[in-house]
Amino acid sequence: MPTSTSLVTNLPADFNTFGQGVDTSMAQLKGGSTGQVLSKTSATDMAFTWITPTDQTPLTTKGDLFTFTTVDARLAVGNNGESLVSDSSTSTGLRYQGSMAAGKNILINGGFDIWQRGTSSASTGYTTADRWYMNAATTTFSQETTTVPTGVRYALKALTSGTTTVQFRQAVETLNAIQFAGKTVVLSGEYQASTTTTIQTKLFYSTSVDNSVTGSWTEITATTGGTVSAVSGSYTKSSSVFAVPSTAKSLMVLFDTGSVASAVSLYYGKIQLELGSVATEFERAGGTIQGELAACQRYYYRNGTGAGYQPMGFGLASSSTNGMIMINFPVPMRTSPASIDFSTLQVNDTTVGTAVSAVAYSGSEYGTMSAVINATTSGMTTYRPVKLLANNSATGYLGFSAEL
Amino acid sequence: MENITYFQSLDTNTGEATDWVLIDHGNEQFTSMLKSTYDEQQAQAEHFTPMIPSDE
Repeated sequence: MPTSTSLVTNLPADFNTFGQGVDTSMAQLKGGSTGQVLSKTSATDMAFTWITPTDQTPLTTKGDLFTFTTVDARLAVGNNGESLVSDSSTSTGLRYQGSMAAGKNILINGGFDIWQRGTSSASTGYTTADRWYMNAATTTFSQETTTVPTGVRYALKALTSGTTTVQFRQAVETLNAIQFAGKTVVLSGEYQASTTTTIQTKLFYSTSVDNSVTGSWTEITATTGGTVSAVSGSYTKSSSVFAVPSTAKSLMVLFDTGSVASAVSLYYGKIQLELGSVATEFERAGGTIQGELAACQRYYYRNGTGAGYQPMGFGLASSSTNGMIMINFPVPMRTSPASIDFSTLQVNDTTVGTAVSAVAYSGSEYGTMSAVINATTSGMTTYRPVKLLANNSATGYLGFSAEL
Repeated sequence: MENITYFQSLDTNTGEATDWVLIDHGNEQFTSMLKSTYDEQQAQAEHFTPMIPSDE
């Protein structure tokens, strides 16, 4: 091998010697096959070998995540609507679970937890489950405790007593509904029936602020879903997707069967209206049971269905026929209550207690926090302190409504 | 069958009377409201959309 000072006298031979030296020095870089990579075998210069890499991708399916246990690992994609959370008990430290974001469900009492007015009624109106307006044409709506979806205590049962349309609805006030204007929303629930029945799951909107449940509404056509076939023996989960117009200020959901025969039982549970096109795990609008009760009491508050002489309020007799009673509401109501419900009450001055025949506000002495009511009665002594009580009846009550 | 009666409630501050409606639901249950509120609800019910289904 010539050096830098060597006199080149035979160029072909010297070049051949040089080439052989390079080939010997780089011999370990030769060889290998497709896909192989060079790996050092020691710290010595030019100590290489060809190897096949072991860290191939573990991903196999759409949505898989490339993660790690003690080696590279695959985390399969979760179910629709689930979120990824940390979980140190799993091999990858990750887990998919249902979304439980607070306040995502804008339907109050979608789990049918709250029944301030009673647990059964065949009358139209706000009669049973809080916040739900029942169209009780030949239908009895009641609290169901046995045939309920997994994970909740109650469901709403509708039992027909003749050929009829089973229909009920809930209006959403503007403060809650307007966040959905111009957005895609999904209405979900679980349904069962004693005989296979098609239930229409509908969404309506209004451009009016705080439109009444009995007001004028425009239906939004579902982009997917819109009906569910409720069957016997098990609950069917269903969801419908709607594009809410940007002008919407109030929303209303409505469940409608069309014509069904007599003696058909229908069951509804876990009703939820949320943003997005994929239904997520059901959650109460109020988050907790006490939160849900407070949310309901913003629209309707009832004191009663307790002891025979359940106390309702305290005041004084403004005349021999009127007890003026101060009432404090447990939570601020949506608006000043527009109507007062009552049953089986008495005004009592500790000497005499006489039945109440009518209840009204004392002039304009009422608001969202409290009210002074006039309870029409008899036999009172003017300016004597009085109590408003249930009239020796566990069914006595006093209620205030600020429903839509 | 509901029974409707009218009565007046006295404002103990001003002495003025306001008109009220008492709805007797027939089972010892009553609802009362200002007559103006009742009239408003009755007018609104005529434009109820979608309609409440009636007995078939």
